[in-house]
Formats: sequence, C-alpha cells, structure tokens
Amino acid sequence: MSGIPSELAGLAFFVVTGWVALWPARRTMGPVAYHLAALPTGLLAAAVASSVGALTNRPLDLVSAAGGAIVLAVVVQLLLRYLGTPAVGMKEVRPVSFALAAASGGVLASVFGVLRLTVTNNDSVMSYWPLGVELARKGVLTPGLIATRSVLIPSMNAIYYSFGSEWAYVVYPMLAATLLAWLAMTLLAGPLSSLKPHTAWTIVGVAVAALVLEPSFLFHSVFVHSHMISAIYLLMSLTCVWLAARPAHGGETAEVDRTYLVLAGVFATGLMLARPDGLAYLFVPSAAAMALIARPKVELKAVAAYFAPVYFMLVATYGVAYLELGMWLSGKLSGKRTLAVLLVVLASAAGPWVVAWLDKRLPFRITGERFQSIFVAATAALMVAALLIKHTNAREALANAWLNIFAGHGGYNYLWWGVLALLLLSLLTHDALRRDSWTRSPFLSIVLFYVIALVVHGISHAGRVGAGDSLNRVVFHTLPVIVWYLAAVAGRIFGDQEKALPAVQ
Amino acid sequence: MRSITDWRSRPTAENLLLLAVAVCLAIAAVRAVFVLVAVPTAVYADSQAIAAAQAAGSTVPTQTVLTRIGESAAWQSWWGGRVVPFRDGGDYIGVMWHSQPTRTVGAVIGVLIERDRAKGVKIDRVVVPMDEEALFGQPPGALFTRPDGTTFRSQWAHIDRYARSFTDVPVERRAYAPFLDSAKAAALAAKTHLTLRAHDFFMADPVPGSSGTWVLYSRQGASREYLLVPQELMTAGGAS
Repeated sequence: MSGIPSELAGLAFFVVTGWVALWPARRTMGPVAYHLAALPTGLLAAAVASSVGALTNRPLDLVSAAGGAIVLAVVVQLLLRYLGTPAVGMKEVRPVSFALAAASGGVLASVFGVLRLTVTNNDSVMSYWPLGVELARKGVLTPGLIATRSVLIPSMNAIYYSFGSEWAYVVYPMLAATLLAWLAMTLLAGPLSSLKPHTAWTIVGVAVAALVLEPSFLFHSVFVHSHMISAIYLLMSLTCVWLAARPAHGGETAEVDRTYLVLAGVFATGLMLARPDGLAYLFVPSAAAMALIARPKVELKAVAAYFAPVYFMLVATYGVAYLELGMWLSGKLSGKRTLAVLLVVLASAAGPWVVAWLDKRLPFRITGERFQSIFVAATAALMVAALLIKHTNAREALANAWLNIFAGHGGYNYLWWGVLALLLLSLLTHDALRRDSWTRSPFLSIVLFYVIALVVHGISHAGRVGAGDSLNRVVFHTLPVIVWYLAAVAGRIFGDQEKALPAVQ
Repeated sequence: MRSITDWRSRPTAENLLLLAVAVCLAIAAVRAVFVLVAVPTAVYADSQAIAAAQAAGSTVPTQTVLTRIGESAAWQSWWGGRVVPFRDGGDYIGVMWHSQPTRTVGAVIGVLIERDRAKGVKIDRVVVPMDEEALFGQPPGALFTRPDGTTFRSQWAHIDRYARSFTDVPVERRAYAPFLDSAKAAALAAKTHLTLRAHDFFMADPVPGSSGTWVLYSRQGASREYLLVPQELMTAGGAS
C-alpha cells in the first residue's frame, strides 16, 4: 500500500516550496490566498526539477527535486520583488497562520489518504505513473514524455516516488479542495466584495455547492490524470488576471496590480505544462492578460510581469527538452509542432505594443478589453477555416463532441444544456459583454477555451464516443470558470438591487 | 419594504437567469439526495441476497462495497458511466489491475518484482508468454464473459515493455502455454504457497537457492488470476 507518510511528505515539499516562492506576495495576497496558492505554486517545482535532473545527468530524485524547488522559488521571488506592485497597508501573514494552514492541510490530506479513493484509466497506469517512476530512476527526458504527457505530472509523480510513494493519489483531492476554496476566496475578494456579507456568502455557498454536487467534479477530484490540475491552473491564472484588473476601478486608466499579473503568469505555466495541449490553452489566460496590458501606453513592467514567468518556464522545460532531444519526432506534439506554437507564444509578448501601434492607426479602438473580443472573434474565424480545411476529421470530432457533451454519452447528463442555457441568458442580461465589469473577461475566456478546444480536436484528434474521450474530459476544465462567471453575474444582479434599495425604501 | 429577493424590481432576463440557476441547482441536489438514499438501499439488498445465497451453499463472487455501489442503477445514472473510485486490495497496483485491461499486467509485474527484491527475494529474470494467443487461450479481440455477466475483449499486452518502466530485471518473452485450468492452478497454489499480493495477482514463495527465474502463468477462474512462480517450482504449463 502506498504509505500516507510519503503522500504527506510530497505535499509538504510542494507546499513549503510554494510558501518560499510566494513570500514577497504575501501582503498583497493576504493569508488565505497565500496559503491556498502554495500547493499549486510549489507543484511547478516538479517541472523545473525534471530539467535540473536532465541537465545534471542524474535521476529525478530528492536532490534534483530540491534543486528544482530552489530554482523555482528564487525565480518567482525575483519576479515578484522586481516586477510586482509594492504592497501598501495590506494584510500581514502571521506565523500562526502557517501552523493553521499546515494543520488543516495535514488533517485533510490524512483523511484523503485514509479513504484511499482513486480512479485510473490507461493513461494513469500506463503513462503518468510509469513515466514518473522512469524519471525517478533514470532522469532522462524522452520524446514520449514530452509529446504525450508533458513534464509536470510525470515529474510530480517522480518526486512522490522518491519520497517512497507507490501511487500518488492524495494530491488530486487536495487540489480539488484548494480549487473550491480559491473559487470562494476570489469571488469574495472580487465581484462580490461590494455586496452585503450575507448576500456574498450565499452566492459563494451556491457556487461551491454547484461544483460539489456535480459528479464530474467529484470524479476528477480522485482521477489520476491531468484534469483537476488543468482546471485549477486555468481558474487560478484567470482569476489572478481579473484581480489584477479589478474592474470598475477606472477602466484603462486604473493601475494594474502587477503582483497578481506575475501570479497569473506563474499559474498559466501550470496550465501549459499539465498536458501537451496546454500550450494551446495557454492563450486563454494570455488573451485575458493582454486585454489588461495592451493599453494606448504600454507599461513594460506589466508586460514582463505576465510573460516573464511564462518565458522562464518555457526555457526551463521545453528549452531543456530541445537541448536534450533535439527536434523530437511524434505523432502528437512533435518538436516541430511545439516550436511553431512556442514561437507564437514568444512573439505574443510583443503583442501589447503591436496592438497599441495599430490602435493609433485604425479607425476603431482595439486596446484594453476590446482586444479580448477581437482576439476571440479572430480565433473563431481561424477555427472555422481550420475546420473547413480538415473537414473530414472536424465532422467526426464535432459529431463525437455532440454525442458526448449534449446527447448523454459523455456522462454529463444534462449539465451542458444547463450551462448553455445560463450562458445564453447571461447574454440577454448584457453581463457577458458588459464593459468594465467582472463578467466580460470570464465570458470571453470561456468562449475562447472552446474555440481552441475545437481547433485542437477538430484538426488532429477526432476522439471517440464515451466518457473517456479526450475532449469530453477537457471541457471539464472550464466548469469552475463557468461557475465563477455565473456567481459574478449573480453578484452584479444582487449588487444593483442592493444599491437601488436605499432609494426605494 | 422591498428587498433584493423582490423579483418585480428586476428585468425579466435577470429573473430568468436566477430561476434557471435555482432549477439547475435543485435538480443537482435532488439527484444527489436520491443517490444517497437509493444506493445504500440497493447495496444493503444486494448484501442480504449474497448472505442468503452463501447460507444456501452457493458460490458467490467476492465484491467490495464500492463495486456494488458502482453496479447500482441509481449510481450509474448519476455518475454517468464513469469509472467508480476504488480502494480495495490494499495495494493500488493490484487495484488498478482489478479495474484495468490486460495491458497493466506488465506494470504490476514490474512493481511486484521491485518490491520483493527489496525484501531480499532473488529475482533475476521473469519469463512471460510470447504468444499473444496463449495468454487467455483465445485470439486477441475474443469476447470473454466475467462471472458477473459483463463482457470484455482481450487485448494484447506488451508485458515486457511496460514492466521495463518499473524494473531493470529482464522480462523475457518466450513461447510457452501460460494458461492453467482450475485443477492445475489449485495444485500449483498448494505446492508453491502462493501469496495474495494484490487482487487477482499471486506470487509463490521463493525457493531457497533458486535460479531467480520466475515464470508468469494465468488462469481464468471466478476472476482472472495471474501467478508468478519460481521456475524450479513450476510443474504445469511446460515453461522452457
């Protein structure tokens, strides 16, 4: 049996790494966000550790893991110190909060450890875990690892293996619990912050209940795969962008909180490295961040705040993979394909200046939040073109997606019909595209995710009918973001009424 | 006095949206409550039926509570046909095996080899069947029926390749007949003191001073079983 001590040791390693890395941001984040973000941040050390192991020609053992943790912590600390916005009069993180966080996290992890619930498919058993064991024993990056799974999860498994684990499983429900708490915390700190406490907490309670009652959320909480990890990084990177913007506080003239932009970039790298197609989904938080930093007058520090963590992680993982493997071959994510996407990612840091330059010359404005709408529309047009070119594969992919997501074969019952209805209704309430709001960027991010998903699956991977289909599992990544968005819409509705109340009383 | 729950002060679209949220949440809650009531009831009824069958002298396949939960109609409808979480076996590699197709046997062997070597068991080489038809005695893709009536198709496993992810011990493919009938398996179990290491996977006690070569055998009984036996103890199957 996989021992609970090894599960707890792995978690403690990642949490401590996260604590150290995020130390300069603690006052801006406050104790709750700081402690919640520690595990997802520390987890990224695994990806760096695989490169440390590969470059030093040693297995991904505890020495390589420590090396990865130190490199990650130093880089994130430097980025937060030099690119973040200095915290003024913010919340202090007291020493006792570390004890509380460690105790509550330890108890929760022990409960999950004793329950020993886990779910696997072939990817879990034949790929994620063996690749981790192989990394721990040999430390060699292979084309199969980079192309089919990406480095984050196998490297995480390698570190667990080095701690004596025979099957890492507690981290998944821990990430699910972190996701729920982060969702609640960011809603209260963001769109619901101006509501009366009982209204805000009621909305948060409903949002959390909506996820907890959804079988797919419970399933992915114990599923040894990339989905809960992708979902939490997507939610965290996007919410950090939105908290950096704090809409309704001055629009394009308001100062951006660069500390949250650095955090958004850090968490976006988790999304990027959790799965091979994470490189494509990286454009979802990137478009939201660009909408924030592509202003008529571009601030270099704001651009660097988001893109520097992304560049660092690209060099630390894919850069090392090219050094070790050259131009690797694969039917999935080959070296050439990866390079093409990487070049777009690298070039996108110049985007804010290009947008500002075009904005001055075009008859209509494209900076600020208009950028995200234009980017989504342009990507959707590209999607249609790509699907028409690859129409045979696209037709099969769309047919499978329809059967899985809407016709009940994917195990969601009527979930996505409800989601579709609610998203359409939010268009009618004008929240979906409302300017300078908490809801516009989330709506556009959700749409962009599906556009990218349809491109990825429409041109290359038609999938199959059944709950195990890749796209059918990938759509789950958006579920927490959708819940966050709908809670923000509800917050806006009740907020409007609360504001109107004194006038009618 | 008006309050924020006053729907008349809101536009119709906003009321519709809030109503839709409430309806979705109510459906989710009702379904969850139904599952919480119906599944334990079904599992209890199932337990009673098994106890009655055992009292009547019938052979009843062993099933964990989680397996029985997964088989209840209310659960399946709510869970959407996904894999049911599991925890039985006391060993995740074994549990994996219980729920996964034959491909996982290589991973299981790899893990068990390393575990037993760490305890001092001499394992220098493992022999696995080369002939893909021999593993179940049927060609690949043949339809099999489990004791519970559900069916599966056999799928060839690259045992050696998957075992390599977990162990440096050579896993060698040879042509031999690894399929045992019940009588041979029972005789083998009695002779070798096979130990249950993981669900459906057995390893024999090592032979003192043995060569360290172990051979993989398989049998389809009440459940699919795999046997890893020291070469010196092997009498059935004719390992080369």
